[in-house]
Amino acid sequence: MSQLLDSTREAFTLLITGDSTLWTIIAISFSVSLRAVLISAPVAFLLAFALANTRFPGRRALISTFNTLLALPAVVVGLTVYMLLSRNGPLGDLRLLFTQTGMVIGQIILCFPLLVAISHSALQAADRRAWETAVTLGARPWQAMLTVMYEVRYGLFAALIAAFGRVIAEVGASMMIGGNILNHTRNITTAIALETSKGAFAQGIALGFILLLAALVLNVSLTTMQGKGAMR
Amino acid sequence: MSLAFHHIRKHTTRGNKLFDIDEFDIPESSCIILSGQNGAGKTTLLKILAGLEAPDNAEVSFDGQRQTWNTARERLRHEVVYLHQQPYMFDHSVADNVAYGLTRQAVPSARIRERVAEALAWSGLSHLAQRNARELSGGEKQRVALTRARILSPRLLLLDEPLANMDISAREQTIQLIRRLKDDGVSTIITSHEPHISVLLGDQHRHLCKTGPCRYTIIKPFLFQRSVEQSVQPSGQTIERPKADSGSVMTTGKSDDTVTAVILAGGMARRMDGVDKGLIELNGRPMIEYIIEALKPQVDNIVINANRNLEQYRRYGYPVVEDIMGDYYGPLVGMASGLQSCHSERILTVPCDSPFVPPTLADTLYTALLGQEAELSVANDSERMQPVFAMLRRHLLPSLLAYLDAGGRKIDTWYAEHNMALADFSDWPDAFININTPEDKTFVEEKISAENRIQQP
Repeated sequence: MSQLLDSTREAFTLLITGDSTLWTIIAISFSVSLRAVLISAPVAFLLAFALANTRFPGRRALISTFNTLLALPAVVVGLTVYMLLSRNGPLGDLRLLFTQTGMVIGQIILCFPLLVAISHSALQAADRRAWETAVTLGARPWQAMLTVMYEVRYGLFAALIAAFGRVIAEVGASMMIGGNILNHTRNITTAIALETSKGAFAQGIALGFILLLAALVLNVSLTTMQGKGAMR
Repeated sequence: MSLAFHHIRKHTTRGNKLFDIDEFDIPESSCIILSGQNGAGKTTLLKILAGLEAPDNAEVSFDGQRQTWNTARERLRHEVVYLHQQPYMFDHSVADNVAYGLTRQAVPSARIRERVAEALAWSGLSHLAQRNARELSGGEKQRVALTRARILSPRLLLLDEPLANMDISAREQTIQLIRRLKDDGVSTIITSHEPHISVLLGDQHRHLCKTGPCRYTIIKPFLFQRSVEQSVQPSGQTIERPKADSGSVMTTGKSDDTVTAVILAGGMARRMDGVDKGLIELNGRPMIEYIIEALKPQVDNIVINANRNLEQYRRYGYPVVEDIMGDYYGPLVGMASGLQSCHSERILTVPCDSPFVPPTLADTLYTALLGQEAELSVANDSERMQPVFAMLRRHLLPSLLAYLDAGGRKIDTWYAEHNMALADFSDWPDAFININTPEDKTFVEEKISAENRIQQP
């Protein structure tokens, strides 16, 4: 127990003193996960809007598919993308294996279904009158769509936060696609995995605390923005 | 600047026909009151007119240019504004809500601020400009919605039950705003069940039928006759309120105070082998002649409601109107048909089979109506009410149509929904003798001969 406390104290000391190795790990985690969420979100929201407001053949099947993909294990995504990106794989020529871009691709696959599913339910519940009022006041369809999204922005925020939570915490895809290369593709979760395999459990847990703390800071700042009516 | 819709057809999602309207024209600067039973499709119709909901088929003419609804949709969305029964407020300030339409166009922001301030002053909402629109009361929301529409200067404004669930002062303020929009030259269509609003705001009334042979389509029961009102524009120039098209509607009265007698001769006469009762000869003269003779000095105009032998009835030189709905639905339909065919503020209804019409009939009913500030007055002999001898005020028509449309046929039940005065006719024992059997006819003929002998010794 004292070992745990000592390691945590040590980890925080490193954090405060600005240890570059630790900070790089944190930065990689956030950079990769934020990119994955921000790239997926616009497409996911558009798709969710279409699923909520239009009727086309295969719509229900698509919704079920996304709901099912919520259960997709990160290692399976990691394995699949690894096979696609490896030298002999169909996308091997892109040379994306063991890069941050590769990790972003893996995380996009992980968070996209979540973004679609949650924002779909938010947009589905949107008041039909919002769309009609916007359109009758002369808004073009895309303008009316933005208006409706603004009206259900809390639901969309929830989707963003849940998606970010999922990808910042996953280890399977980052490990397999990124390869855990220090200062390059090592992020918080793969670092924890490494420490654990070395038997340094305490360091692992300390890193876990840092992950939580960082996520807390991000969520608090997002919530503050939301309160000020951002995302207009 | 004219707008008209043609062949509007719509089915429900379950495939049932909702309506099939041949022609829906929108006269300039006029207010159309649209009534109809729940489920008749009033809201759907408005949404089609606004370009919000797709019909199965419809054509639109803008200033005579005819195009399909699909082609016209964008233009409809720009020139027609639809207001929900409970208006939707965007989660913004009142000012931002009012500015919504303008900010979606490329209007410079300084100009937007100016016009929003002007529009808020117009509706008396300036003090609420910075409040979040979601926090307002129902009446205030309705006024924000009207302001938000007015700032776009639409050609046509569609109001879905604008006064439902509102307290009296909110109602009055809303009515004020709707009136001023009308004065600004905006055409409006208002769905409403309330006779009140029809009289206050309407230029004409249209009813979307759900039942009867005219179901699925629109009938135009009447144009509201107004003494020509002059409205003063801010510029100081006076304009005459444009009159709605007259079409098939006959003008039979000028001032509000006229009384038109409606002779109800549209019955089937089941107990008389289906003869046309009004034309039964009593001592050589058709019964209706006795009635016309008695009514002529009492009222300003006469209308005959008949469904058969129209040519014979027309001989008397009075307008003859057929039932506007149904297949011999009874006297209520005759009354509705009579009301829609004239402009009088009051109609006097008389059956065609009671030849001894008292010479004081109109006066007594009129006095009872006014004296008791009632909506209708009904003759009462010493024993019972004589419901077809009645005087009805014009504003009852929407209620009457709604009742008929809902399947109601019983005259007493409909009367009971309204403020009714009874007029005493116990001094006229013969007034309500009517002819239902051949024996009645013989009896009445003898009575007439006897009276004639007294009058012509």
